[in-house]
Amino acid sequence: MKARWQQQARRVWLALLSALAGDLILVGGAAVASGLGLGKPADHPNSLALLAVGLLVTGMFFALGYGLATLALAPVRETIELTRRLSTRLGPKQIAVTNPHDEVGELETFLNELLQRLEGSFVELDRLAADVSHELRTPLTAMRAVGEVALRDRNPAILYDAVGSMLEEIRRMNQLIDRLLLLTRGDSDQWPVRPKPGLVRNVLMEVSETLGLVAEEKQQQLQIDCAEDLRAFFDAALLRLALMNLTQNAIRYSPPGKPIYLRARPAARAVLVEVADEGPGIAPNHHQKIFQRFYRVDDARSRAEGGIGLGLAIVKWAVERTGGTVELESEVGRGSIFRLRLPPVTR
Amino acid sequence: MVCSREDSFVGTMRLLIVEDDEKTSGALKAGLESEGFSAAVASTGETGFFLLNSEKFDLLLLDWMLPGHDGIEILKTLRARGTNTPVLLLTARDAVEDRVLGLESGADDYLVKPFAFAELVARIRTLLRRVTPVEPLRKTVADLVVDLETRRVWRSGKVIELTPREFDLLAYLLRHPGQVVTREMLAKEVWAETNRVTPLDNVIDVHVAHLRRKLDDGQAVKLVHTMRGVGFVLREEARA
Repeated sequence: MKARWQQQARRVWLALLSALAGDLILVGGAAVASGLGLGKPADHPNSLALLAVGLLVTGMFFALGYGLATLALAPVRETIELTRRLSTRLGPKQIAVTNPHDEVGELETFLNELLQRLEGSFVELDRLAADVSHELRTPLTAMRAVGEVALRDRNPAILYDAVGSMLEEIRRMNQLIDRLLLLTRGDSDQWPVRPKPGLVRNVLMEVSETLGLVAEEKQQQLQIDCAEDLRAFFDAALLRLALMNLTQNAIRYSPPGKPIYLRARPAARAVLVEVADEGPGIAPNHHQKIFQRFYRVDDARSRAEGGIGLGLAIVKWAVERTGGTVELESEVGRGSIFRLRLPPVTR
Repeated sequence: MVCSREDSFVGTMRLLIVEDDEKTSGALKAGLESEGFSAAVASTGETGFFLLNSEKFDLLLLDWMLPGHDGIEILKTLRARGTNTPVLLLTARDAVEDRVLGLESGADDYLVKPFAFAELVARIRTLLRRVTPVEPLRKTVADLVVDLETRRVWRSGKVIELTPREFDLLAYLLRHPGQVVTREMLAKEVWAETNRVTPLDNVIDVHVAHLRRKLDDGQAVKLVHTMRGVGFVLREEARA
């Protein structure tokens, strides 16, 4: 209620100012008129009438001022009403901008931009909730089935196996939560970003050392092709995270015996780091969506391989956080190249 | 589970679990008792505080989020009084600032929920062992001999060649003989991985498989075992 009173007070003030201004004009006019000798010198009986006229004129100016103030503030009032209706999620989504060039119009445009971003977050939130419930339902269904079936049996070996299988699913759900939290809470200091000039080859070597044995199991070779002194501007932990995910994917999806290349080279205003395989390749219709959270090219296969569906989303997140971009070049039957563009070292 | 009692444990260690979720505290109590500890449970901060004042405990397992007084409040009061019982804080909060707050309030260690029971036991043992950190340089399990100083390994008197990573893996398993070691623990301790999102599962699995091949192939008594869904354990066991 206080706000309403204050709005009223502002109008009264404006009206008073306008009345004062009006009176000053009147007095000034009168003074000029008398100075020019147009009016008679004011004598006693006339002064009362003059006072009455003065009060009347003051009142008129006050009313005029009040009206003007109300008129001037009307669009603001309207905007407030519109915004109030918008605050429920079911109403219209934008304010109709009356005149984009005046102050109120500018305010409305600004509010619309704000609303749009807000709407975006709502949509994102809905999608996240849908995605997560879907992703959790799959392992939960498996656990329930395994548990229920195992309980029918009196065989301890089967029970033992069922518990193991359920623990595996639980583990996967935990990993899902860890990765999802990373993606949604990425801006906090959970993962501090410290990009600095560094040797790209060191990171490639580290990834290849960690994953070498895994590749060997599939008779695959990790081949590094990168100049000793090639430097780029990056956060080592984030780059490593991205390359670990990409290289594991390459190992997972390309057939035994095929090489996997980890290579880097300088380009115009960027350093290119690539993970290339000679696997089955990815059809063009997936290229846009493949970096999206939970998008899977082959749902059944990815799940069977133990995939959570967040690997490439994390790659994109990590690369962008260290100031780079990621793109995919792939042709079915020929293989895939995941290419990172990192900022170069400038002096 | 086979339980190898450490020399430093004189008598039974008594633990207090302050945790409001009954299912969790019940499972923890049963699990810890099967590991040879004795455990009491308090479901609120008040009860926990009362028990701490009336009995002696060797270690406190404290849940951060508790109805009434939360874990941090209890911890601060405890430390302000000069009680130096080791405290292992259990919590679902894993932001960096939460960890810092937990440790600054006087916790000795910090474990994020949901944790693996094996890791909890390992941390508890570490906290209780802090007093006697002396570790023998040569360890033996069945006919396996490992020299931690020269990094040499023998099985049935024959030298076994291990890669540096395989040796580190074996050394870590040896430090927890008869206890299950999770992939998370291995990632953290053997691969020095600081974050939980780096995909290392298959890396660990492959290394364990190699280690097992080198240690156990052709042997009647197997030493490296996989506990499905939990992790790995080093112990004597004839495998079919």
